[in-house]
Parts: sequence; C-alpha cells; structure tokens
Amino acid sequence: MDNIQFETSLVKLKNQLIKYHPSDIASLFETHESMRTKIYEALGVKLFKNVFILLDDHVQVQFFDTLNKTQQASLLKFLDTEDIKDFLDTLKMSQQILVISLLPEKTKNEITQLFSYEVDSSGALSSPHFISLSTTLNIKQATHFVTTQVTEKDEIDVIFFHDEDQKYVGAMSLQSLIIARANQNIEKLIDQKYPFVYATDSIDIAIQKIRDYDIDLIPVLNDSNAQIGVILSDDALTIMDELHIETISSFVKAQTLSDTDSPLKRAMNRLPWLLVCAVLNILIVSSLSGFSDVLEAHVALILFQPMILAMAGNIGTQSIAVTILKLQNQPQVLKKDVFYELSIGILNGAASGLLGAAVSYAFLWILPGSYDQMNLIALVVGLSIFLSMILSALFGVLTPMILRKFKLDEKAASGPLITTINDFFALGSYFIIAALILFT
Amino acid sequence: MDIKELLKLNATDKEILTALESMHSFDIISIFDELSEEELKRLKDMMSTEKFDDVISYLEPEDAAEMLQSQSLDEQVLVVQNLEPDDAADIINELSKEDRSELIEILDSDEPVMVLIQYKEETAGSYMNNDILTVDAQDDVKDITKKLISSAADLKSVKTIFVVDDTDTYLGQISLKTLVRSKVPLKAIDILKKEPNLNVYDDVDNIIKHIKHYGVYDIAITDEHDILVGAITTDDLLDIYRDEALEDIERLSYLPDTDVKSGVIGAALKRLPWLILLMGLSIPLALITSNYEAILTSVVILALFQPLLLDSGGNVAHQTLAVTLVGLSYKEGVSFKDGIKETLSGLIIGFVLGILAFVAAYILSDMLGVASPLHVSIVVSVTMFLVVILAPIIGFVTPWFLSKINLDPAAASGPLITTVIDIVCLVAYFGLATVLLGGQMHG
Repeated sequence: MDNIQFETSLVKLKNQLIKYHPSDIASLFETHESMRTKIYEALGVKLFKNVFILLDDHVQVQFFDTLNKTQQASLLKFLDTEDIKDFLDTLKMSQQILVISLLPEKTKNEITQLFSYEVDSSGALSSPHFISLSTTLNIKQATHFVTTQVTEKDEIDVIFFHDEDQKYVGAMSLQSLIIARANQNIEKLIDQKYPFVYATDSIDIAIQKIRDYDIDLIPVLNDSNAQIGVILSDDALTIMDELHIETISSFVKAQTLSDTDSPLKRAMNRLPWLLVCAVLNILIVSSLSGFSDVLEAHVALILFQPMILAMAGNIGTQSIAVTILKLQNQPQVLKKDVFYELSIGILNGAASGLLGAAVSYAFLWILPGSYDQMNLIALVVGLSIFLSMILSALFGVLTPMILRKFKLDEKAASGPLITTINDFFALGSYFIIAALILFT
Repeated sequence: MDIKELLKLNATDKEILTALESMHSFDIISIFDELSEEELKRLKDMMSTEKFDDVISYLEPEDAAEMLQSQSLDEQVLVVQNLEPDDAADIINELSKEDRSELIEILDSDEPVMVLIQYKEETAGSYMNNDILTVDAQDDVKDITKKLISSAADLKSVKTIFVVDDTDTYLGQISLKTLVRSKVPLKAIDILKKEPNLNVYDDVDNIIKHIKHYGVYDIAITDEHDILVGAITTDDLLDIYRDEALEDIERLSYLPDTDVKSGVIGAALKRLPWLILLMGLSIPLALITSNYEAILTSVVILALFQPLLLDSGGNVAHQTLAVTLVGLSYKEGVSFKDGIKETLSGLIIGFVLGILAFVAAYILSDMLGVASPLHVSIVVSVTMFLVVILAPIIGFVTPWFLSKINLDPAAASGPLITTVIDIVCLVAYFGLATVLLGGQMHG
C-alpha cells in the first residue's frame, strides 16, 4: 500500500489502485490529501463511488465540495439511495437542498420517503434497492426477470414476493431460484416464515432479527404490509459497531470517540461531565464535613476509605453493565431482574464485607503503632462495605430502569455520575455507621 | 395457536407438528426455556430429523450439546452429518470428554467436521465452514451453474462460489448475483473477484479488524500456502462481532461471561473473584495512607478531599482508556499522536479542575476553621492538576503496552490503571501535604 507511485500517468495509477480493496483505497485517499483529485480522476466516477462511501464523513463533505456541479451529479447518480441519505445526514440543511436538487427525480422521491421515517427506525435506514416479484410469475419468468431486469445497485441474494394487492408474502434465496426446476410451483418455494420488520420498528429490532435468524437481508414493510425496502447485514454490522462504541463511550462519558478531534475539542467535550462530577463530589465533601470529628478521633477510618469507595463502585459497575446489556435485548427491566441483582448484591456484599473486616483487622494489627478499638473499626469497615455494596448494586439496576421508563437513554446511567452518587452513599454509610458504633 | 398452549391442552402429535412446521426454528428454540423436561422431550421425539437439525443449529452450542447428549449415538452421528460443519464442531467441542471421544471415534475421518474440531478456539479455523462450493478457474458459467445445482442437497445456503486453481490455491470468488448475470462462454477466471482473505490461524481480533475495515462478506480462509480451506460466512461474522463487543463491555465492567444463564448464587460466585481482586488492590492504598497518619491527624479535612481526587483521576484515565481501546480495535491501531493529543487534553482538563478544586477547598477549609486554608487548597489543587495530567498518559500507555505484549488490553487495563492512579494520587497528595502543612503538626 505504501509503495504506490503517484507521480505517474492516470492510467498507470489506476492500474496500481485497482489491485486494492476500496477500503484500502479509502484509507489512502484520507491520508494523501494532495493526491485526492488525482486518485478520483484515475479511478473514474464508477469505481470511485465505492471508495467515496467508505470515507470519513468530513472527508466526504470536503471532497464533494471540490467537485463541480456535473461531477457531483454524476457521482450521486452512481451512489445507492441509502448511501446518499447517509451523506445528506452529514450535511447542513442549506447544503442538503443543493445536493438534493442534483438528484434524478426517482432518487429524489426515494430520499424524501426515507427522510419521512423517524431517526433510528428500520424505515429510515432501509435501502430501496430490492427485488419484489409477483407470486403469479412462474420460475422461468422470475429467472428471466432476475437475469435481465436487475440493475447493478439491486440486492438480489434474496428475492421477495408480493400478492396482487402488493402485500408482502415471503422470500426466496437466489440459490433456490437458480436450482429450481422450470416446472416447479413458485409458491411452494417461497419461504413464508422469512422474518420481516415494520418501517416504524426500531433499527435494533431489525439487527437482532438479522442476527438471530442468520439472514443476509431483512425486508421492511409499511403499515399496510407492502414492502418498502431491505436492510443488509453489512449495514447491521455498521450499526452494531456504532452502538458498541456508543455504549463504551457512555460508560466513561466521553461523548464522541473521534480520533480526529484536536486536544482542545476532546477536553471541551469531556469537561462538562467531569465538572458535574467534581462539583457533586465537593457537595458530598461539604455535607459530610460534619463527620470530621469522628475521623479526627479515629484516623484509622481514613485508611479504609478508598477500599469502601472502590468496593461500592465496582459492584455498581457490574450491575449497571448487566442491566444495560439486558436492556439491549428486552424492552424493560423486570421485577425479577431487580431482585436478581439485589440478591447478588446481598451475597457478594456479605462476602466482601466479611473479608473487608478481616483484612482491616489484620492490617491494623500488623501495622506498628497502636490503634484503639481495632475490632470495632473492623466491624465498621465490614458493615459499611456490606451496606454500601447492596445500595450500589440496587442503584445499578434501578437507574437504567428509571431512565428507560422516562424514555431517556439508559446508557446515561453508567459512568462517572453513578460513581459519584455511589460515593455519596458509601461514604455516608461509612461515617454514620462509624459514628453510631464508635461514639456509643 | 402457540406450541405451549397446544402442549397444555394435550393436543395430538399431528396438531403440534403442523404448528412446529409453520414456525421458524429460531422461534421454536426461544420457547424451549419455558417448557418442562417432558414437554421438551415430546417435541424432540416428534420432530423430523431435518427440523431437529435446523433447530439444533440455532441453539447456543452448550445447549445444543446437552440436547445432543440425550440422543443415541447413531442419532448423534446423523445430526452431526447433517449440520453445517462449523456448527457441528462448536457443538462437539462442548460435549463432555467421554461423549466427545465416543462420538469422534465412530465418525468417519473424512467428515468435514473432523478437520474443524482441531483448530484452536477463537481462531479463523474454528469459526470457518469447510463445506463450501469451489469451482475451477477454467469452468465456464454453465459448469458453475451445474455444480451449484448438484451441490444443493448438501449445501444449505450458498451466496458465494469460491474459485481455485488446480493446486487448490485461492484465486477469487463469484457472487451468485454475478453468476446469474453472466453468460457462456465466460469462465470463472473472467468473472471472479479477488477479495481480501484471512489465514486459518488468524485470531478473533484480526477477524474483527478485517470486517470493520472491509465490511461483511463471505471471507475465504486459506492456509499458509494460500490453499483455500474454508470460509466464514456473513451470518457467523455478525455473531463473532457481537460476542467480541459483549466481551469488551464485560471486561470493562469486571463481569464474567454474562451469556451463560445461571442462578443467583452461581452468578454471585462468578462475579466475586473480580471484587476480591479489586479489594486486594486497595490494600496498598491503606498502607500508603498509614504512612502519612501524622499529617492526617492534624489536618483531617484532607481525608474529605480524597474521594474527589481519586475519582477525577480515575474518570479521566478511563476516558482515555475507552478511546484507546476503540482505536486498538481498528486495523490502523493507535499511534503516539493520539497519546499526545490525549495528554494535551489532560493538561487543559487538569487546569480547569485544578482551579475548581482550589476554590472549593479554600471555601470549605475556611468554613471549617482550618488554620491555613490557603495551604490546604494549594495541596488539593496541585494534586488534582498532577493527577489529571498523569491520568491520560497512564490510560493510553497501559492498553497500548498490553496489546504490544499480546495480552487482552480490555481485561487488564481497568484495574491496573485504577491502582496506579490511586497510588500516584495518594503519594502526591500526602507528600505535598507533609511538605506544605507539616509545620502545623502536633508536637
């Protein structure tokens, strides 16, 4: 890849480039800014469109702007409708209108249709390039249609069927159509169990079906059961990847994980949450500062403060993650899930509490210097670990559940914010238990 | 009517069978959980072998193995022969040791599955299917179509035809879409497309990087001499991706494998080791703190700011960790440029948080009547600044280093980073405090 010679004729450059996969050419295109026009000219628009759809959003926009109107229109002509929609999504409103005005009438209508669906619904992410045949055709007519009428853009690995009222009936793989004998009844070959989604269904449902039923294409139907598009397994992967990165970044509240952002932008992006947490932390400190005389009397308590905070935090992380993963597969947290996590919290809280008490006792015993009431301090540590872990486990399952109930993103529950809330309850229970046990 | 009700209503086998036949196999397995053992057995016995095989192929390998074990050995062989070899291999690997060797002994040694069970878990070899349709470079469109038709009985779903030369070297692949639109006298060599392929020993990380870069398609798998040995199909790729993504999140959240269903006690026991390990990691912190007891006794307010400092350091480090882990999952990997960007952003964040900590510490210590609020707030804010600058460096270097020495960066980074940050933070904090506030110590 690195040994490509740019200082050569367009034909020679093209010969070098076509040995590579479009994804590799896209990486090359992104890193060699001064060579972009040359790469485009060498490949020609028909090959270049495969590269274009793989480029980073901002490179797409940047490069598109350098093309003249005719070049823009011809590039758009070769793009799949759903790719044009993706591209439009990255543009500002005023630019969108300009681009749409360059589209052929048919594509324009398809695009308007796609934009009419809610964001993240199956309809909005579907592709209109599918084949749907009438069940009244025979095998020969169907094969003839597929071999002659299909365009480059159409997905034909699976062929769909509709009845006289345009209602979706089922699907047949291209393989079955090829191997079918001419006299076979087409309706018998159609798989009527083939799964489908409705345009208004969330995209997550479509992806789950693609995965669960091991299929490559899933048809998307409107509310009168007519097919309006398909979703491909390749798109499913892209969306799964986006969801995965979103989940990971929400765990740490780093909003967007784009590697091209400058340090300042990264800092600005993450500061709000960090500030919220720091301020909350300071509020905790202030509200607990009343306990400073307990600490003053028993400095040993300070030694185990990090341990208690960590244990509450860790079990909280576990229970949040389990709950968020669960919510990716089911609509709402059930009572039994809450009890499940709570019971685990009680069991592991008890185990950790016992161990914590033992560790802190042993620790104070080994340390030089004498501590008063070692057994009582160990008791305080053990009880606090127990109590704070139960509370954290419970919050870990309740917070995503409540967010989901109010139709907010449950992933907002994870990360620094919950850590800070857990800290509050952990320190609160530590100091209160200490005050109760050591001051009576 | 659904199967569950039919079973409750004592419907005849015929009624149930009709219902079963109209259901997709995936939907059938999703009701398995809700059935009693007798009901399950009844369903199993009445299903045709083909339906049973199809159902088995949708089950998780562990569950499928359990189901297979209840069959007679002859039946097991039949099932294994009918399944796609990659599914069969997964299931055989989940069988208990005796059952496994018993079954392998009786299986024909040229059964495709026999090759697959030898590959190490989580390598391309273990995911691939070796029951694929291959044609010769010189075959013309008509020959290829004939081969496709005659293989239909054995190969359940074909989307891609692989082209090899006479030494079985991978040359390229032809999608059915291309095939139907090509006419004789075109030959395989004229219509094939060479797609990037993977090696049979490539591990799952490489597979993930590959599909993130090149997209999802039927990937040819070759051995070290470019001989085509199998392929990983798109449906399996999505499952591989999902499993890896899930594992990432589990590792980051100190969780065991959450895919396996288990009771409360079982789940609690599985999650406990991480918790105990993490508790062990907090002991050094107590040790460090105990060394600075003198300063803590005289300025107790320092203890109250400890969570703020530990949390901020941890938060910033984990943000960098997440960015780096995501970066590492791409083919391009991460570069030192990213590390420098992260460090610079840490500098900015450290500055802002440092100022905030200074103001807050000053107000609070003034309110509580501490002797020297200025000194306390300097200690708190300087520590904050130092920790937040160090955090991105540790958050970047740790996963980068772990991946260099071929350890899983997602698993080890979290606890390692937290411990290092906490230790640095406490030493800096109490050290600074001793220097600046030491004069006020008792005695």
